[in-house]
Amino acid sequence: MKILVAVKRVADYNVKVRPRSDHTGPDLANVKMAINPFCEIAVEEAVRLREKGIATEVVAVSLGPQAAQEQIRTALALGADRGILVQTDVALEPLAIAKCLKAICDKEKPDLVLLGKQAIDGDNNQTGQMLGALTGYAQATFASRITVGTGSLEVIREVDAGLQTIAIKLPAIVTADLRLNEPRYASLPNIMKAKKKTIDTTTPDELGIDVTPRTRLLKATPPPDRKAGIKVEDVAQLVDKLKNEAKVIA
Amino acid sequence: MTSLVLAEHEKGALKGATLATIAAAKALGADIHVLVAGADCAAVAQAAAKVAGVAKVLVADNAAYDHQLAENTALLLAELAKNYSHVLAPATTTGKNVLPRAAALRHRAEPGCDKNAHRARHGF
Repeated sequence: MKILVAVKRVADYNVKVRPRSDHTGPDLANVKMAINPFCEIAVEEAVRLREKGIATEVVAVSLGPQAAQEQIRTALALGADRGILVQTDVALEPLAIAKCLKAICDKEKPDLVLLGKQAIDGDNNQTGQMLGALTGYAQATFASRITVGTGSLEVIREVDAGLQTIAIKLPAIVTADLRLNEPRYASLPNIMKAKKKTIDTTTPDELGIDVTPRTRLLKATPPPDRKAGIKVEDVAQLVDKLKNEAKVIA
Repeated sequence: MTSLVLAEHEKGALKGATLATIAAAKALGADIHVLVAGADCAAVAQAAAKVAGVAKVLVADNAAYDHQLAENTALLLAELAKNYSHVLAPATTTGKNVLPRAAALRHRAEPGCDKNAHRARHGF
């Protein structure tokens, strides 16, 4: 079984991102970038399937600037076999990403495509589903456990009301939720080995895909500052404030 | 201009998130149609028809739509979306599972016309 796993370059989850002073978007200058945590979980799952002998090859794909190679290297250090970078400096939207991944799928013919359920920068939660539509593959989003059968998968999905178990045919798209696994740390020997693995570079143009953005970011603002609280003298004053100022009790 | 709201339901009952989505559709100011897709979902359709502001309920009652899984529901939604200016679904795991798939299907069918696949998700 061949697995394609998509990784996204995002601001590290520890970084507190602020909007630029002119409100034109998040300020990412000199911010530490990392692999999206959900993508990391997807890579880990792919590597585990590889270690169990279920998968034969794990290909890591990323889309973005030249620097996104770093995130592919991270995936390679975790155990992926080779990488593909679709290089572009355009800010990619989920549909554009899904179209590029579809083109890669046509070439690579994976049996399973693993993605994170969403990226921590855009929080779109769309790419996997859109790729499912474009390829016509079955989809299992929010996966918290994957069991591979013959020509099929049994996936436990984390839905609002609890857990949902579905069976889907391969080839399929699976998007990883938080509890699918706990990613390993890359060991130093593996990081060194990852430097020797190949990364093929292509562009959206070469894939024949128009990635021009279809939405426009109008404004990015920080959440309003929280006002300081006050101390109340006694219960009567508290009740009075709840009734008349906050109007939370009648 | 008409909006289509994908209803979410379980065991013959309309889920609360659907009502929030209908309220969001009202804010768009268009007529509201509701799509109820599922197996044995006549009771849900009746309930949806009683919601204030809903002009029409479309019912797709077939085993293929049981559990509202994304693959079939998205095909149906993408096909119906041709006739609507906005398509809305609750921002629940079901809605998030179906809507992006339908949006991408729409785009595949008619490139350059993804107004219909407009994504208006409202998390209340």
